[in-house]
Amino acid sequence: MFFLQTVAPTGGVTSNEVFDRYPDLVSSIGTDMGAFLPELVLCLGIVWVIFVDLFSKRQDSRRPGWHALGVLGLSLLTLVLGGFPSAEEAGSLFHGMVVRDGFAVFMKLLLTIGTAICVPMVMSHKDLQGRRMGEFYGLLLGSLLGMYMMASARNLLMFFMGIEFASYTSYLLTGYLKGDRKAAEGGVKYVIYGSVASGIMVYGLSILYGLTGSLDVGAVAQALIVTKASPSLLIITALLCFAGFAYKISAFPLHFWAPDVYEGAPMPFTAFLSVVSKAAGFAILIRFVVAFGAPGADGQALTLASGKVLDLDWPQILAVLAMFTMTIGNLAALWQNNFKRLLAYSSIAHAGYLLMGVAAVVPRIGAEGDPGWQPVLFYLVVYLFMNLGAFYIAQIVAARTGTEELPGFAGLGKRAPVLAVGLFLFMISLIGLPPTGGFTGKWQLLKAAWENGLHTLVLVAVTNTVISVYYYARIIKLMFLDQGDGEGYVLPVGQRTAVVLMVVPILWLGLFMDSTVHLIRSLSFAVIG
Amino acid sequence: MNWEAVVFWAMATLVLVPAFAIVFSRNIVHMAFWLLGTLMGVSGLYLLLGADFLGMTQIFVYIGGINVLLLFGIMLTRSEPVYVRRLAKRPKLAPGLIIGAFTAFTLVSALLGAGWRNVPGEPTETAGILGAFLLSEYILPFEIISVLLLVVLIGAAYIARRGSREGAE
Amino acid sequence: MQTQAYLVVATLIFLIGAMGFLIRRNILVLFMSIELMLNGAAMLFVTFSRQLRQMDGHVFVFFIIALAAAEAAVGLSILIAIFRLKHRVNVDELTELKG
Repeated sequence: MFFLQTVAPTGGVTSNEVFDRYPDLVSSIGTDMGAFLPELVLCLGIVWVIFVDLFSKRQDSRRPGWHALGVLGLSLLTLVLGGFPSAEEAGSLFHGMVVRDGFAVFMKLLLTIGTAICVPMVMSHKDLQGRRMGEFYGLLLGSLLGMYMMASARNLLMFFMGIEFASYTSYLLTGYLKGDRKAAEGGVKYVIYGSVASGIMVYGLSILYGLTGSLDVGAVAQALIVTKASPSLLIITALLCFAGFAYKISAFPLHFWAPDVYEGAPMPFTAFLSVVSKAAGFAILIRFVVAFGAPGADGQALTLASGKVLDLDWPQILAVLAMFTMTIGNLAALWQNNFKRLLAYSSIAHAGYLLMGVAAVVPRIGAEGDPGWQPVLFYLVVYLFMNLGAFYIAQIVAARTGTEELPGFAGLGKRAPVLAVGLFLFMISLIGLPPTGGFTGKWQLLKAAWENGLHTLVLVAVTNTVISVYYYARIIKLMFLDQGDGEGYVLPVGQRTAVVLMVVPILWLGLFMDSTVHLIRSLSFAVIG
Repeated sequence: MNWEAVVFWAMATLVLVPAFAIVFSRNIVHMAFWLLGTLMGVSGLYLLLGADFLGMTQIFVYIGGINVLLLFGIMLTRSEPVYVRRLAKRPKLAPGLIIGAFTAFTLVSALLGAGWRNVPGEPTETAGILGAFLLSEYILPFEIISVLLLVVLIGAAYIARRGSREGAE
Repeated sequence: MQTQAYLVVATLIFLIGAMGFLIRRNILVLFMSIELMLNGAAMLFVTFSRQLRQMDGHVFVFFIIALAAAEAAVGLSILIAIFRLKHRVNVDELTELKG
């Protein structure tokens, strides 16, 4: 065929030579599988949950939920038994596709716990009763599997695959309520904007590959030090790649999808999106930023993220994005009357606060004994409990009042004091007031940013916190000061326990944060440049 | 001009002209067929670049799968004539075009300025080597994507299935 | 042919797709635009792969094609779901969610 007379890209190797590069191919896969048990459990769990649903009655829509919880528990168990790898044990699996380090294990634990909290919410959601739910749980577990990949990827291909896996399942889960117009519309908007964001990202990844000749994040970062590419190309590449991450964490300028999708999706899945999906996005962003900010081989040259090569201050660029993200989120939240929409804008604002922490990571990379990403991870833990808690209470209230609008909360303090007090604490924590984890978490973020010279950003963040008091306090006022119609109701024991279980970590992280901080500080981190 | 340049320019035309037509056409069925042209052209460029396996995959999956799927989508969602409104209701065309032209200029000039060199080589079949890579270095993504396709297709089938028996409609 | 020529063609496909995404409103046309963008990125990978004499770019494109197929299936299933409810396939006519 005459076409093939052109240059072949194989570098002249044959397939046998490829296999010869991996003499212990089969045995290494065997050993890697041992460290890959949580993922394997999820893979089998997806199929298992769908099968369980096939053999149960449609009215019995909770049954696959219990099995999904079992799968999550098993995955959690394997994660805990595996433990946090120490700095010596940290390394790569499957020929450098994914890493095994303390950071990844911690993020996976966080993601699994978040998903496990969402499952009971799904089981008690009234719109999701009496349907075939096997596919829902299968997709949810699949989404979690994709996020595991995001938390541990080190190859650009795995970055892309993880993000796409988590995204596709999320599109489908958003539109899962087929008869619901809002859900379908949210699903359409999500799939369109999500696809275009990943398209932009993969274009950026391809330029990175072309510049460096490698798909491994560490190798790419090292190769960029010596690259002769023009600074403008590097900046464009970084921004194109950032599009994919910004979309996952709903940061400016790719935040606009969040309110519509959050409002359209069923409440438990909105909670999942705003917390678990965002945490996975931050995991991948931190992995990327740390790899590209690491000191070069000679200890002098610093790559993309630190800006020494480009004469560009990357912490400042991230800081500007963080400022926009939090300001836009908080200002738009002021006018919202739908609870889900309000929390959507609030979650955009929180993405801004977390991005502030990421901006502060950059100057600290390579510093001994103090990973700069510790405040971000701490805040993600706090955010997980406070946001899921707020959604959980909102779901109970919405089921009672039949509306997700804010007036449904009026007089909640009289009708259901437990819920009202719980929501009060979550709101306090979301504002960032003591004695909650929201305060300690945000204080650490602000401190990290201040110490790394991002003074303007800190001022903007504090101003934003003050603005946010208005809309959170509005809900508190509605609950305790306003008169609502409707009778009081007694909560089932299960729901009461659940609320308490969510409040305890918030207070605990607010009062005794040291053990968690130490745990996060001690996590190992593979792939530093 | 040597034959490679001739084929290249033919393929580039086959790619770019239909691509523009997709963006500015009004008939949605025509658009799907214009897309066919672009995808064929890209496949041809893959062959020209020595990627024989990917060129064929492009034809099988993109044209045989995705493009046909899009045509099904057009047929299934046709409540009106095939003519679609060309632009957004309030198209912000002028700023869009300026930003687009600016992006195009910077991207192309930055890419061209990167100093790529041309590498000679011998013709090879890539299919076997690609397979070797997929089963050695890239075995994990290869397995993960099988799980992805399973989960996503089950989910897609659920969403697209008529939900009347569940009382949803 | 010079590598640059391929790079320009790939970038133009990507940008035409991006332009289509910005100015069109029919959901199916948006999907076509996204496919164009993905094709541009994939072609860039293949070009770089020849340039670098490596197969990694080919592997990546292999996955891009597979993921694009999954994406098309997801997108069309959601599109069909919303068409059943609203009989509309333009994004700016989806106004259930104010935004």
